[in-house]
Amino acid sequence: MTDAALPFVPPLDVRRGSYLDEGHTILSWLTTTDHKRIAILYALSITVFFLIGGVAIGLVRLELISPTGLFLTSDEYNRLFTIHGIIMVWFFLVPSIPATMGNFLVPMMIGAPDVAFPRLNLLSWYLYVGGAVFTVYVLLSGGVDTGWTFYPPFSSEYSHSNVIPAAIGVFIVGFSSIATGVNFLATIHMLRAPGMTWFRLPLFVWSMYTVSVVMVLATPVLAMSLLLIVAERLFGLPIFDPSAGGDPVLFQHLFWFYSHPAVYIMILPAMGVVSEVFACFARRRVFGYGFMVFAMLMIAVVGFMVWGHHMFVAGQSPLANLIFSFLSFIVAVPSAIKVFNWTATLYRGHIGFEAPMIYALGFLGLFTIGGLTGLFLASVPIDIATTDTYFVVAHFHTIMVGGTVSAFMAGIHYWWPKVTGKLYNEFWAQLAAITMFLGFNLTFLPQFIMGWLGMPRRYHYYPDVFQIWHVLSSGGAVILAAAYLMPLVYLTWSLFCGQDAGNNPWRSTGLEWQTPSPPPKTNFLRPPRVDADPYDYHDFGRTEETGGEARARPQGEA
Amino acid sequence: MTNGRQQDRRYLWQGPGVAWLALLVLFAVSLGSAYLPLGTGNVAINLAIAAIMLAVLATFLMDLRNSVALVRIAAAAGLFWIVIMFALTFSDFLTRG
Amino acid sequence: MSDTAGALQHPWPDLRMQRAGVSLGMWMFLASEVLFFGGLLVSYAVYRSFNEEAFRIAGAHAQIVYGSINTVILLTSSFTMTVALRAATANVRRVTLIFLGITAALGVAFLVCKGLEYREDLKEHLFPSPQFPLSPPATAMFWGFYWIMTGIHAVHLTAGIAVVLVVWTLFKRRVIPVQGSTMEGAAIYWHFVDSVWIVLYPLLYLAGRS
Repeated sequence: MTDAALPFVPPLDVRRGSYLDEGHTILSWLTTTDHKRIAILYALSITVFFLIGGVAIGLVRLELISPTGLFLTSDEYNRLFTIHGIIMVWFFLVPSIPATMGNFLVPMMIGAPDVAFPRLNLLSWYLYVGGAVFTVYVLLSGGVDTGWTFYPPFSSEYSHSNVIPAAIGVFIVGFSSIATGVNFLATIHMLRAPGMTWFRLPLFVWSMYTVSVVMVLATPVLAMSLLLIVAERLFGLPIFDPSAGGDPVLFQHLFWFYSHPAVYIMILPAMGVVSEVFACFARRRVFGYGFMVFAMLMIAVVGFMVWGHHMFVAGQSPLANLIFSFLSFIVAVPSAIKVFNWTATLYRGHIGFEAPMIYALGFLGLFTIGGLTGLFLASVPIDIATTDTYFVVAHFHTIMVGGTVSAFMAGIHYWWPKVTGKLYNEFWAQLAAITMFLGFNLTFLPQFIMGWLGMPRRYHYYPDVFQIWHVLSSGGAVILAAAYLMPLVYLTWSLFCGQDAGNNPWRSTGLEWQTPSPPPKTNFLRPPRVDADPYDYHDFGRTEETGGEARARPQGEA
Repeated sequence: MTNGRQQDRRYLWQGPGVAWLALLVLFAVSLGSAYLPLGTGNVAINLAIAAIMLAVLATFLMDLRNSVALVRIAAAAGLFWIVIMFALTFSDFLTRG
Repeated sequence: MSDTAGALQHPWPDLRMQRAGVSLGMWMFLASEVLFFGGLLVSYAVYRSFNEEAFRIAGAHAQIVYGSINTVILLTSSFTMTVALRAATANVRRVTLIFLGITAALGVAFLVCKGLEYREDLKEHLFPSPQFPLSPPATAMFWGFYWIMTGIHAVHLTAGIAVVLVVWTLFKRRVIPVQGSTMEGAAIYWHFVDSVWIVLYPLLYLAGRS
């Protein structure tokens, strides 16, 4: 695709190459305010933590092959699953799609030169690093054993582990979330290019908008809950201490007020990615765009009203149980709407099975299963039996790993040519995607079964009858680990030896694809004028592709 | 000439000054009423006055009435979400057996 | 003309939009701060509703004189901050600098007063420890909240004072012009810190007066 077809891009002589060419020193990366570079800083950071969190749980799964353990003490076991949870939730999943793909793509998708507050963006990454420093300290000094949920009175009084540094690390990284959220909201409200009306926004941008609302409003409550734990532990202030009238369940209210919306922080971006991938690789408009937007808004809002379903057996009143259960059933409805609409998008589309699509299809199936098992858990009688069993563990991993990580991988592969200008090896990517799907199911389907049969979670030693399920699950984990390592290899390889991607190898109609790959620092020469709806693909069937160019109208053509 | 400048300068402190006086009066009423034996009425009055003070501060000192609708929505969102937190948390605590 | 040019930041197309953007961003941050303190407030509310008498007894020991003086100081500082903001928008640099300075000074006065008050509280052993003098046990809960609420508020106020001093210096040295967007953000934040105190004051100081 020649530059002549890209009317809003600075010409070659002006743009000095891509954003990657603007400074090659480490300092230029560490002091950048370019949203694209900050996205890459985040991507590298979260990859490191994904690997650390993965190693932690790898050790746990290895240990669980035997009902009486192999090489860990119970104390070490507790610390490993705790650090796995803390790292995976706050240092991988929460930032994953928003901080990497959101940062890189939101300005480009709306036709803006950068986010609203570029320096705040860089600060948000440094806040992530600050929180990460505390977490690494916790790792190196023996860990924390409270579970990622920090429940008192164990965390506030009885635990002999590094609760305070762990809590501080999470507190700090929370502000990274809030900063990102504020930035995205201001950007999307105020920096859209002329003609980019709200209902012409790609669904990915809507997902970034809704996730930002959740991040800004939920995260501070987590911060307060952890601050109160630290205050009790450090200064002896009796906030959750029953002897002074305190109630540990109050902590749970504050903690889950954040941590339930947190799971929507993890899934909304995944939904946005998957919408983009389905549209492009089925060559179809997303079915029911308006309902898709409405669904995301409803998830973001109603998601704040269901937190008590984590506390059905904690001592919450039956009336509150009823209210939270009812609202939890309601919040499943918009998610279901989205699953129907994605399916309808695929129907009679011309589906290509490139790696992003395989990951997205895996998302569709696994998110459905995970969501349905969530409905089981929303029912109070069932939850009373399944709370604190592997059924819950399998449920949330199906959504977070089967769902969010699949979508994260889909997005990485879909936008890899945009970010790096290189093509990855499609065969190895497809193999990794299929391996991941198979490994995932072998890891977590046995967990659903043994949870239903009564295997408790977080247990180090367990009755022999569950061993077969644990062995299957651990075997699956080995395959899953291999599937995660494969992209590290072939993606890195593509950086050095990959084919040049050209500007738009997927022939996508998104505004971010109407620029060179990799893009210049300023994204667009001047704000593009938008006069087309997103996903301007055919309604039915694949477009006539004679010269390899999509029929899609170039954005903003005069 | 100087008259004109003084007129301009009055804009700087006149409106805010009235708001400030209103806040001081409300504060005095709140403080004074706290010494009257009204039982639970005390906390109700104090919180009501605090709410009015916040409204005065937001409207006249933070200039919320001249802001774009979006800013007012952001402010309202914070309040709406805190109401959700209070309502659902108390739905548990007030109905414990 | 060259004055305002220094105020425009990438990626904003013009100063008016930048000011609107900073205002919007700051109010969104405030929404998150409302929820931050909200967690504290809901906890206080839950415990107070179950320990009315204990909270009344405990609240009677809060230093009403210090608390009231501090309230007047903060309300006045909101007034001076508003004057500074209006002066900045009207490009009256001298008044901006003067009133920013007064605002910071009032903030410091609050902290000094608070420090003296903390000293009195500690002399009375109103900190959860074996020498805590009050009963029933839930009075310790009130005092736990007192220290956390006023402490976190003081941290926010200190941050606000630091911001005001930095902004004052940037204006004084003409690094940025006064009618940019910085003043807007600083003022909104300052008023928020005052708002928090307006809510905390009745909860902590007027609890046991009658």
